[in-house]
Amino acid sequence: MNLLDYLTPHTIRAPLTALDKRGAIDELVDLLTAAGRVPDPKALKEAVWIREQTRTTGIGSGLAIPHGKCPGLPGLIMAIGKPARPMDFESIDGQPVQLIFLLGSPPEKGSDHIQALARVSRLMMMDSFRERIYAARSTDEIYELLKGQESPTATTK
Amino acid sequence: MTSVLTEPNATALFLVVFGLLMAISVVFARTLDRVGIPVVLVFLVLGMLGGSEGIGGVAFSNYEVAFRLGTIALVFILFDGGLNTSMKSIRRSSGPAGLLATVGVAGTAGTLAIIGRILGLSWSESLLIGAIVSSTDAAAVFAVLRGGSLCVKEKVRSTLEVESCVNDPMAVILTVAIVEAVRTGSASGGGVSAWKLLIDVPIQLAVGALMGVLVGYLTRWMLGRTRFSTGGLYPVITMASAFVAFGAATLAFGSGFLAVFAAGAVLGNGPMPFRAGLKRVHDAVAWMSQVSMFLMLGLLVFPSQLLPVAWVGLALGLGLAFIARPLVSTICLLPFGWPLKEIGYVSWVGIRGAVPIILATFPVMAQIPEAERIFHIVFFIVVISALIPGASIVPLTRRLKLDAPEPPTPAAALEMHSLRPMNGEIHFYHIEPHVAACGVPLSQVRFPDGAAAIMVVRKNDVMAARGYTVLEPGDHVYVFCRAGDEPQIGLIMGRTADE
Repeated sequence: MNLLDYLTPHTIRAPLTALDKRGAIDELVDLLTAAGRVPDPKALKEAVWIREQTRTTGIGSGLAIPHGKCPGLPGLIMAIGKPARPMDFESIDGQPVQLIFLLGSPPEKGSDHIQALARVSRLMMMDSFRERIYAARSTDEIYELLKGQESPTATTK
Repeated sequence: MTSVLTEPNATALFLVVFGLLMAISVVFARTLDRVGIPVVLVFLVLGMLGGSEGIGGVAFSNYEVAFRLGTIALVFILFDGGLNTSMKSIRRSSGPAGLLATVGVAGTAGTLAIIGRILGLSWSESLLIGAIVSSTDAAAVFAVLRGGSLCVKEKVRSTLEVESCVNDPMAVILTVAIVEAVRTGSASGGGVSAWKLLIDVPIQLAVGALMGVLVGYLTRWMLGRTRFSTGGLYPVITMASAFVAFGAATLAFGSGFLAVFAAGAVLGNGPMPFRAGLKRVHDAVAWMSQVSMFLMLGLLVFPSQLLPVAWVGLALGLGLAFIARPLVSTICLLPFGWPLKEIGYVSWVGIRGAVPIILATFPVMAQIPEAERIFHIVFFIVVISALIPGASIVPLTRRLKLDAPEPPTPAAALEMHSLRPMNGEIHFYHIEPHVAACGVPLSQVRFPDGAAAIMVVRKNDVMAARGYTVLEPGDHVYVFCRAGDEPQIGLIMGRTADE
């Protein structure tokens, strides 16, 4: 799975204006809506929030991957947000998050959804990449980093 | 009655009666739990019935023995608390819980002393009572927050739990200091060598924590290295570790109770052979301790001495629940920016329990006049603080929407019993409709390397986890993984039910 099939500079925002968890999720859904990917933003926000209540998606090391299944979505959708300042996400390691990947998919695309989650969490397990992307200051910088990692020409590690 | 019976019949009769009462109360525990009456209160009543003024006629008024037994019981309770408290909870709630456990305890003691003074008690009595009942009770809080029907939101729950485990040292330090001051006659006013306390408290806490962590690591090292002929010897080692932690820390002028909790937490959060079995043993021992402690309190109380202090005891109990605890915990929690309803909840669930019983024996042993009167007043406060919040906690939690629905227990369970610490662990997940893995065949679920689903429990069926198994809402999935990989699995599977 190539994340660049789902991410464009229009679905990446750095820095986010939201200051808390719920606000960040809403802002990223709105970003995707503006990009024309979400027919019913309210339903997606709710779906992501309900999943978040089950257990935090702040999986540690400064990363959060909120996600949700929502009927009516055209397919897998993805957005990235970088909080202006590290943000409390009730992460499992108690550390504030530095980058938020938001994922959504219709219920019938469960396996795409799961592959994308695994891909993002594996990508972010690479210490050097994680450090670079956390240091990125702008949308373009984040996109370029992903391109360097995900483009077919780059040798996959 | 007992004069007719000779040994071994006297002991035999005692054991039959005691055993039957214990079994009956446990059987009724569920019903009591639903009504909101803490089970431990039943033992209190049993103790009173069995006492010298009740039908049992057991004459027990030996406060030294009560102190020693109580301390041992508390060591077990706090050690179990440590074993079951995750590092995550400790880290997350260290700020609010730490403040509640130090400043909060002192503040509660002070406020209650003022209330006592207003009610006409002397300063020394008021201060002693305030200090004795100033800490919340680990076992009672755990029982209420984790017991059967309720599951409270993580943040509030861990704050209350960690607070209850680390605030006893402060109450002990305060009580010892005030007893000493009253005994030597220097506590004419409120200034009980406050300066000395300001220096003593941090030192005792630091020494206690350090000693506990040290004993915890030593025990872990030993458990990982030594092979015992039988599994039954492992809990003996962990219990020994709890005793040593308490004793060594106390001898080194540290807080023994904090040391015990710290040692338990170090062990519970690291690799440990026979983890599941050890935890179960300590759970049982902690329950047994709690039960014995309340039984003992019941025996020590003389109903005839209760009546004269009933009013003042009741008033202090209500003052603690409605004024002292809410006031002080609000002040402690405001800086953390908590929502008001969560502050209110923490204020309300300040259940007292076993510790005051032990602390109330201090003045008696120090032969302070009026000590037995204080003991009986403390009795009232403990009962009221267990009854009022206890009875209201279930509806209150629901009303404030602070309950996090607990995943149901699966019909079958899988545990790993490893003789030596292993780099692998088994977690089980309760599949909820909105987690990513729901509705997806297992073959599509990308587990980290070295992890795999091994068993699925669906209603009353146990199934092997095969690639074509599609996960349904309500399934319990057992996953084997390497230590440290759990967060990635939790991301797609949701909440572990084994935390």
